[in-house]
Amino acid sequence: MRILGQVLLWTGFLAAAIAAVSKKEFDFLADAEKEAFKELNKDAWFTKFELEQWAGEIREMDSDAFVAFLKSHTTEVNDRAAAEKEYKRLKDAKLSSLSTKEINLLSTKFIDQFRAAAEAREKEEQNKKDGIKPPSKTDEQLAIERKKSTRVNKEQLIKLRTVELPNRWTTVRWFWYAAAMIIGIAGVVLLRMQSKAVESDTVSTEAEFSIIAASMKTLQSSIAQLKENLDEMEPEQVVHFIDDQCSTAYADFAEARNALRRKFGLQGFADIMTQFSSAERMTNRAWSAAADGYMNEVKDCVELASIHISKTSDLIAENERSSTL
Amino acid sequence: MSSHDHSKLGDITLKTGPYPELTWTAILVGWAIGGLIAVSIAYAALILGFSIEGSELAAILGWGVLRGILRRTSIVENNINQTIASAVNGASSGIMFTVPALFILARTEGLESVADFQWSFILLLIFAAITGCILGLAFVIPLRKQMIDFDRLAYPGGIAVATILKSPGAGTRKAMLLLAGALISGVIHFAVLLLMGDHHDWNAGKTFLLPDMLNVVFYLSIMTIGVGFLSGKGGFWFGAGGFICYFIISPLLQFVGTDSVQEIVNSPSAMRGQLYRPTGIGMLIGAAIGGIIAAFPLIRSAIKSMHSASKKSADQSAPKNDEMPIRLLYAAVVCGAIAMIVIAFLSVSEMTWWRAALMAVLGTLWVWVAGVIVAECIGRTNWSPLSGMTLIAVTIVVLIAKSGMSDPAAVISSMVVGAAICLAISQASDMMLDLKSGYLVGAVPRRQQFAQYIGCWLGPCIVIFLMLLLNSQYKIGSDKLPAPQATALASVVDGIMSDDVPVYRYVAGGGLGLLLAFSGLGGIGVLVGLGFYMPFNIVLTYTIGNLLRILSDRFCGKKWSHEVGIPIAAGLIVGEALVGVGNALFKVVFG
Repeated sequence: MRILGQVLLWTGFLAAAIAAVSKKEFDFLADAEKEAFKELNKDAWFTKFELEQWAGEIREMDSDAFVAFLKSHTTEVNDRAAAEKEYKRLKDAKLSSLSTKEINLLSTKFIDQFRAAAEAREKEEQNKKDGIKPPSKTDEQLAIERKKSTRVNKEQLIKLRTVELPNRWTTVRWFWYAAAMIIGIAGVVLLRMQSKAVESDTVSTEAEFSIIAASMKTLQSSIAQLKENLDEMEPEQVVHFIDDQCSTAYADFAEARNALRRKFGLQGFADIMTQFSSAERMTNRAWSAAADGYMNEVKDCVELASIHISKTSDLIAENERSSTL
Repeated sequence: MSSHDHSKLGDITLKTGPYPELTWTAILVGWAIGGLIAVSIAYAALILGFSIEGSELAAILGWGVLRGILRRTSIVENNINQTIASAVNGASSGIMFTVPALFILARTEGLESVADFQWSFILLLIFAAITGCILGLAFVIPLRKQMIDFDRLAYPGGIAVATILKSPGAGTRKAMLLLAGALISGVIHFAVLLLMGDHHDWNAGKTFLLPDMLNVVFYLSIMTIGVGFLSGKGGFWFGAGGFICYFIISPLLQFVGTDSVQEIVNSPSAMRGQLYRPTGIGMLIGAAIGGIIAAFPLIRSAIKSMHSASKKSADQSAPKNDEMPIRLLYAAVVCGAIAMIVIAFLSVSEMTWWRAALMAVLGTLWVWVAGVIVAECIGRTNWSPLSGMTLIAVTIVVLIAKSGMSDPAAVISSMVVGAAICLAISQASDMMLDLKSGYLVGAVPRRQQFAQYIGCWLGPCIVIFLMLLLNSQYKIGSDKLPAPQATALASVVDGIMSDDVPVYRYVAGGGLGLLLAFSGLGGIGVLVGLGFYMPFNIVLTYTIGNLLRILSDRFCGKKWSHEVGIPIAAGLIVGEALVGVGNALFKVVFG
């Protein structure tokens, strides 16, 4: 039942996830627009400034006007994207660090871009040398600069175009999504039934519970021993003792804690874990106080840890009694 | 630890008097270190586009100041210091993400007035940010028992902080392991930054001729391996979420996806940005809601025990003084919600009371849900989907604000409420991480909770004034201060104003999250959702840490993992974080 539950859950989950992501907003565009978009390279881009200059409100253009707009600029932006790719390749080959003089000696198709970059760099260096500060820019200048540097790539352009389509909700294949979710829910139901069966499976629960019982026993005797010998112990010995005698027992108890949930229910589990965690925290505090040399604090913490451990033990016993009734 | 190691502990000087914890020294040092970190990280974040978790840094600086300079010797006092310092610093990630967006949006046509900051507005903004902090903490504190005591979430960052705090008493060997880990990761990270710059990925898929769609690219970060190690097998499903996307769904979409989807299957970044990330956000929300429903009996029990603790004042054994009084937290939630209504109403003159109430109530509810989500994500993986949660918050408030108000008024009011929510979420995750480190060093939760409140108000005051100063000097959004996170949020706000929100994918993702949350496999929904949401390069590297932990537990034993593995892993986090901060500061000063 467990395996069937897992298979159904994950089949349903995967199928529903695929139904959620197997379609895009682009699929709702008119065929002519799709074709026009396909002509654009995937790395083609416009600047926000250009779009405002060339196209105005993209989302409000009718299909023919939009197709005409795209077609009229396709070659230009595709070439630009290719040129930029080549520019980046050459830049990676360290050509960008050349001076204008060296660039002038080179013969490449993208010489202008390198030259402009080198000139700007050299001018900036010269200005620095001459102590000339660049003039501060107005908000309008900054806004235009930002529009010029904000790129709208192919996907963003598609978004702009599709944002007001009335059928965007059908981007998710809801029928298949619902069918897949039903399969997943069936898996969840089976897993829940199986987990109830496990809860009533006393063998595995008891095996885990025996770890809890053993850890409790270790903790009770260790904390009692610590409490008893504390007056004669040096701080280093306390740190040593907690590391060696308590840490593993706390970790084992925590690891097996789900047996408590299965055996005593959520409320019983919460009550026991509240006391157990307080005991562990007090022991951690005793460790810190010992490491810092505050033995009075160690004494108080060990005393409290001991009380919380006893309470944990009492609660376990109490819950055991009520579960057997 | 062997007895040989303990002989190296050295003589511990005995001290008398109460064990110092919540002291004025810890508070003052915490404020000073927190202020310093907040200013540095906020400034660096405006330039670099990411903020840095400050807890480890605060613990180390606190260690140096409290132990080294002031000669104070209390682990729990340093814990309070780092709690306060990280609370102050929490404001930098919260505010850097939201408020500079107003400056940037102000340069959009028609929105010029949104950054017309008058004194009254600045004070309102600070008040909103502090209210957000108070609300976030009030919501998350009652969940401490459930997440730390009952579910025992790992909080890898909390373990790292606790390891630093405990290092003076842990013996030479553990301290050396921590230091070795820090040194290794620091050196490697330095080399990676030197050779590869800030974008340090290794495209293993390309090297081994694997298809692009599998997205086998590793994020070259030793820290991420350390985080994976500390999370252990508990983080397994986070990795699984990423593998489900790129190893199962993407290949299947080649056959069942529409043409447009098939076209991008081999472009993992497009797949993530357009399909997996929004679905992942939905899954996180669905799984968190499902998780709250499933864990409701435990949450109720935790709150009940807080109620009973306040009554049992005479019973020494009851954890009576452990938690902040629950009634105080109720009062904080009610006062916070009322304050949010007032803040929303005062933010713009066009605001009506009913709209302000709707924004505040939904925003407050979202703080609770998102607080649970980020606290759980940080607890299980050390990554917080803060940006995704803020995005949803801003979407909710913008949608309410924009119907019936002018665009600038809608943007201003939404960003004010959004900033409060962002800070609330950021404080909630920081609080839980600190409470975990507190648990490990034996701190009293109530004192840490007060310490977080003591620290959280200062961050917004510092960071908001820092931003005003920087904006007047350099203009936020310019080449000097590009503020990438805020620019991204500004474009999202722009998108929301134009109705560009993929709600259908959030809803579909929400259903998937609910399905996993109800499966009975604890926390799996949030983890798989986070795997969908996060870049796969991080997920892959994180998985290496998970595998190492599983292998070390199996072949070297759990004791070895605790005694050797955890200090080294904590060191790996510390070393890379410190080199990261150093790199950021170097760039800011010399860049």
